[in-house]
Amino acid sequence: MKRLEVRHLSTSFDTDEGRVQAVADVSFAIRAGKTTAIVGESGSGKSVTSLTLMRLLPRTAATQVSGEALFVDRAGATLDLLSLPEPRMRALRGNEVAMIFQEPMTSLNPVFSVGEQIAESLRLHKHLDRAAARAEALRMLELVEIPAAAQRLDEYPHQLSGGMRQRVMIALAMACDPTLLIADEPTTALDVTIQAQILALMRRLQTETGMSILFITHNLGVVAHHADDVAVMYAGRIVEAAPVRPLFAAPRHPYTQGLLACLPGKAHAAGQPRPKRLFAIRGQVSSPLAPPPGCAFEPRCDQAEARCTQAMPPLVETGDERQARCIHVPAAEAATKAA
Amino acid sequence: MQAALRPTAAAAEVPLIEVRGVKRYFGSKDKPVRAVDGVSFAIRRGETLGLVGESGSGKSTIGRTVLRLLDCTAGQVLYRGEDIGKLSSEHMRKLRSKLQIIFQDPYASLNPKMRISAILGEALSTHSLAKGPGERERRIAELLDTVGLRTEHASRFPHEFSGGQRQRIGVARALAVEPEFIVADEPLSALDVSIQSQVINLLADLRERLSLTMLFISHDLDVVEYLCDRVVVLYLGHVMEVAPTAELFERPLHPYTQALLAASPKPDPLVESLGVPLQGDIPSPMNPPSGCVFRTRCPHAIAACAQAMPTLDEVRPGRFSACTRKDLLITAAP
Amino acid sequence: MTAPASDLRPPPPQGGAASDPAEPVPRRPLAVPLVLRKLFRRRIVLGAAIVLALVVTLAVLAGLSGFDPNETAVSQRLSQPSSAHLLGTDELGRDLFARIAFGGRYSLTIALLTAVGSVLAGTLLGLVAGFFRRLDAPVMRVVDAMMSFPDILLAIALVGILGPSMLNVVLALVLVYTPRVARVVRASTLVVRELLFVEAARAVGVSTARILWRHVLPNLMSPILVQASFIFAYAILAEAALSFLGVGVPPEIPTWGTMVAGSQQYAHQALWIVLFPGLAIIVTALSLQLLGDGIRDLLDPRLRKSM
Repeated sequence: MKRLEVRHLSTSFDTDEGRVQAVADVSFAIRAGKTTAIVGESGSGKSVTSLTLMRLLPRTAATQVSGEALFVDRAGATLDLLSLPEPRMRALRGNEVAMIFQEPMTSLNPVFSVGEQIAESLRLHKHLDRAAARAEALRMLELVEIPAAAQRLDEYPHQLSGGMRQRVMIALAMACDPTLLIADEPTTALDVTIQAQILALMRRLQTETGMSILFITHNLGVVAHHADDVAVMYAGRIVEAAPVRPLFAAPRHPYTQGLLACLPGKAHAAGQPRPKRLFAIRGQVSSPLAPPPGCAFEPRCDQAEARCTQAMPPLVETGDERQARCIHVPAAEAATKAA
Repeated sequence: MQAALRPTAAAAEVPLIEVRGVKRYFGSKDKPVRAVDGVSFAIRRGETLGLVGESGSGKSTIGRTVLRLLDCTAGQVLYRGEDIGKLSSEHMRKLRSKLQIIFQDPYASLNPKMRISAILGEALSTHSLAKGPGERERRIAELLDTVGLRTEHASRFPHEFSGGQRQRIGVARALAVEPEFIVADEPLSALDVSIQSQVINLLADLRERLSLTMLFISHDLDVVEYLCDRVVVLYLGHVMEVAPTAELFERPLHPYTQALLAASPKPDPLVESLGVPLQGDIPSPMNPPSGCVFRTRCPHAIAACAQAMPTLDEVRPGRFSACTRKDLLITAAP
Repeated sequence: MTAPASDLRPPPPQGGAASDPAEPVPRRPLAVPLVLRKLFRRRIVLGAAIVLALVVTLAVLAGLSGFDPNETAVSQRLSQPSSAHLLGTDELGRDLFARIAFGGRYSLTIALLTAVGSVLAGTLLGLVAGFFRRLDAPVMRVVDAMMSFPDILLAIALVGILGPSMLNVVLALVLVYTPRVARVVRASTLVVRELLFVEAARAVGVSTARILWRHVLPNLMSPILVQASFIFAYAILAEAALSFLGVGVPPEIPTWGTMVAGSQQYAHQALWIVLFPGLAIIVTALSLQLLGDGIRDLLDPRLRKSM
């Protein structure tokens, strides 16, 4: 079953220097109980995608969003997150759909104790009274393996380490039993050994509660071990999507191939001798104000042809649960997804 | 012990850089932050030494004390055998042309109000290089070309460049003064993955062409494995292990190194992640554990570990480890 | 279907040692028009700038016109605004419009000199206090001492001691406003001093003097500029107040303040002789403040972005 199905999501902003298409024609699905990772570098639009889904973008006329995000709630009803009225969306946020961010220090309110922040969410969504909310908040802190949880309940964010704060964020997110957790670079700011703890925690919680996770990151090592499905984004579009093992074993889009090839860790993992030179994708991502005429990756692509500058290739299904946006990757006989 | 830490190869030659018992504390005298708490190592000419560690390890602080951008609370930093802490500020200023640094943050390390030509030109004129008409422009163009940028970029401002390009400018600035030794303080952390490999290639090229000696500070073990000849592993201001790169990654001897390697996910779903993640948080450098600073998280800690911080001993030829549990080494093959 | 690149092909060599030359960076739109557009995004700031421009033009033209603001025509004293005298005449028959235009010259000059003087003195003190740890405490004690006097009283006392003249008024006001600039500059210096590019300059071996001049000072321009515009506005008001109280410039010099002071007693008969100079003071000071607001809003987010 698909917990979330996103279809043709597009988001654009008006800036001083012109209109910027941050996300264009993004379509992917997250299966129930599974983790889908969105991988991308700067300018890929991965964070904007998650903020758009959560409807957390600034509500100005300058922001334009189109597409659908079909979410199946606990009762089994299908809702389009992008067109829900705001009160309905607020009832979902922090409840069935929870989000954790990269920088826990700025996501937690510094003037409230961590226990109070969790309890607030419980009172709001589960309508518990103060005492019950506090008890439940304690249970959540224990769930995320915070030592001396009873004492931590009344501590403030600045008194906790980075790893602890991220656990508190997870506790806050888990408090109302979400069916979908959106994690936007949750471990990027953490040390490696702490990152390993947090990832193990998230995996354990997923196994126990059956929630789906949308994991946004740029770290391919994390993706390799913690995702079931992967969507690779470049310049606001999905350029490749596949289950994790096939993606790493045989990447099809030149960008994905390049990304994997330029990792020093990948070369060594293959058991090969250290290469004299690392593979490097030449150039850099184009400015969103001046996108290339055809395929966005064409200026940097070693496999580019003249055709690539004419039009943006559509995202096509290749029939084995994989998709790619490249003229070199032909579609299966089944219907192609229109651009 | 200092002598034993020098790489055995050119034993007669004085190491280019030597760090002896360096300590650097911050803050109040009675409860200081012990960022660096007794670190010693040496770097041979032409070598690239990797410095790895997590938050609180002191690696960035060491990078700065090596260049005397920070003074040591105790200990010495020797350049070609001479204690740089004793040099006059004018002498030190001149010496800086030999000892350079590439910073972590390409966005903050360039003055937003100065054009690239001014930034590079300042480096040149500070050390009276490229005098004479046209010489300055020529040298700036040459530097930009070396780092893969174009001459016309010289008249632009930093904000007109991407992160990767700014980092190249930072490299150009470091090279402008013709250094022998470069400290690279996490030069890739702020860059996208696809740009990182460009900069790694650039550093490797330059290192070879200009015979540079490097201290490469990073938390990214894969990059360290690729670029460095030897590695120093730090934890909470102390050295845990020193070893040649290949040996460190193939067979880490110190429990912390083992945990660090196990926790770094390899970008290959078929390679199994090893072991259970390390429990607990990194202690605060203001309040380090007694005895071995790693014992609070070490899966092999015993009572003796709380007694005293173990010394960094040469447990195999060229391999050093600071661990009380010598018995564990017997089970690990050489 | 293309096979993935299992061998690590090096990218095509393109001049220079590095394998990957930079792609052309799209040039940002030209700085100046963009700056003006952003500054005047709020109409009221644009309005303030226009008003200010008018006042300045008037003041400049007045000086060039050869009119004598002190020319009396007693027969026409206290006459209402008319076609002959746009804003009427005062108690000595002097044309009010001409006097206000001339008054603008004096008032604006005094205010400008005050702003420039206090910015120079304040920047020097603030820079030294902020950059050199050991000088911070002593310098700031001096500044605190200067700040402990209420503005107007200090100015009155100084002018009282030194005697009324334009220069003394400027001197007194500079003394009053310098501490404010010094504090702001010190605070900003403390921040800029820790920025990475300053450390980078030190790492290159750049001398301290050059670091202060080339790296720290240019990055203080934003707060300094904002302070300067506000001081300009306050100085207009302060000078008017001082002159009104009779402890500013000598009454012969036609500043807006002396105009209001000199004509008070006739106000009930001919309101316009105090109304118009008063309006001139208010409008100019207000425009300067609004412009200062606009500059601050413009520079603030950019300050964050460029840093």
